[in-house]
Amino acid sequence: MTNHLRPDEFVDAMDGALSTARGAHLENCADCRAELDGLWSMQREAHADDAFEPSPLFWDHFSARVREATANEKITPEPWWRTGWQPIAVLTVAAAAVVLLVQTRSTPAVVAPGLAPVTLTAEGPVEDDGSWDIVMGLAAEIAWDDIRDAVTPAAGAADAAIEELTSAQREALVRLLKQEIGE
Amino acid sequence: MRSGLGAAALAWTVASGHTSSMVKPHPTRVSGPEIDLTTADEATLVAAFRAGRVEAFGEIVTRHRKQIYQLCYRFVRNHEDASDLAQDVFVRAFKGLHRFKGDSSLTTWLYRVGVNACLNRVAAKKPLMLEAPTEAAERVDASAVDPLQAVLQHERAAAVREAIAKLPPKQRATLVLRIYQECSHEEIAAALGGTVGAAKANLFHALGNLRRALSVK
Repeated sequence: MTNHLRPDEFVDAMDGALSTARGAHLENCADCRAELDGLWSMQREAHADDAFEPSPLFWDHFSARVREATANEKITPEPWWRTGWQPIAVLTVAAAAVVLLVQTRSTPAVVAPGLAPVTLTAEGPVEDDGSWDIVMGLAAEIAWDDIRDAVTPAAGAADAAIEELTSAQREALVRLLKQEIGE
Repeated sequence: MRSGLGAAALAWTVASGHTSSMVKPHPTRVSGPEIDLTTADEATLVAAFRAGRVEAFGEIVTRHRKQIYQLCYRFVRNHEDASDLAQDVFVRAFKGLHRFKGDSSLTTWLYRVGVNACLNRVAAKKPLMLEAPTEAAERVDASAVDPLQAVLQHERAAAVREAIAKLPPKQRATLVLRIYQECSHEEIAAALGGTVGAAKANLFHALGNLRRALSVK
């Protein structure tokens, strides 16, 4: 088996990127040197063939041609599930959380045997309860704008929430989304 | 599934050239009028185009039209065909840009589209390839002191072009991208869909075949 340079090593040699060990072979091998010289001279000769330069006026004309050729082409934007999945994911998670919360609260409490379940009855008007007065008083002091600011997500909040998820959480989220959209 | 945005009939801006870089497209805010596309980077341009700003494609054409034209010229060797082919490359790019994933630079991706278009065109026109004199072949260096020398150089250059035209497609594409477009081996591998080692081997064989073809003339 010969130890001559391989084709890719010849190209490395042309680029001045041959390893030291292979460079030592090249120095001592007349065949490899002759081959490399031939490649060099061929590359120089090919490189000497100048490119054709069209008139400077051609380029604007060319752009106009391309514009015309693409004028009737429709471009399809990225599907919404690629660009807008983060806010949808957050909303889905929030919806799932609400559903879970509602289901949990509506589940009857487990009652120990022997104890009578407590039954809530509205025998009198709720307003008669003193605690209700406290709640009403507090609510009257809160401005509607404050409530809106508190419950409306800030711009970019969805993106920020997604950023904070771990990769496992994101995968779970994607699975959940796919289930939701029926993929 | 949404439908397309409609006919892409907006006017494009014309701007000076920019260099390319390997950058991933990212979901930049690109739909508003505040983004100046003439100074935007490639990722922003691609994102803007995907978001429906068709004029972003005009900027891409402005930046890359010369490279793509020269690539096409190296394959078809006359101005008319090269300009038609370069236009075809950009139309293909327009249709396929939403599939560009940013794994390579936009330039490399355009070269890939371009090489495929060129090789298809050359394969379809193969029987005609030997007849066409080229603009380059018609240009004799008038400033040369020795007319005989000029004629000999001209003939040799024509022979080189003819020999390049007869190379196998991948070798030819590799040689054109490396020598005339000055692509790196990595860019060539990405454009032609192979390994860096294969790109280097293709260049080696292309130069070797050229040498053999010219030595028997």
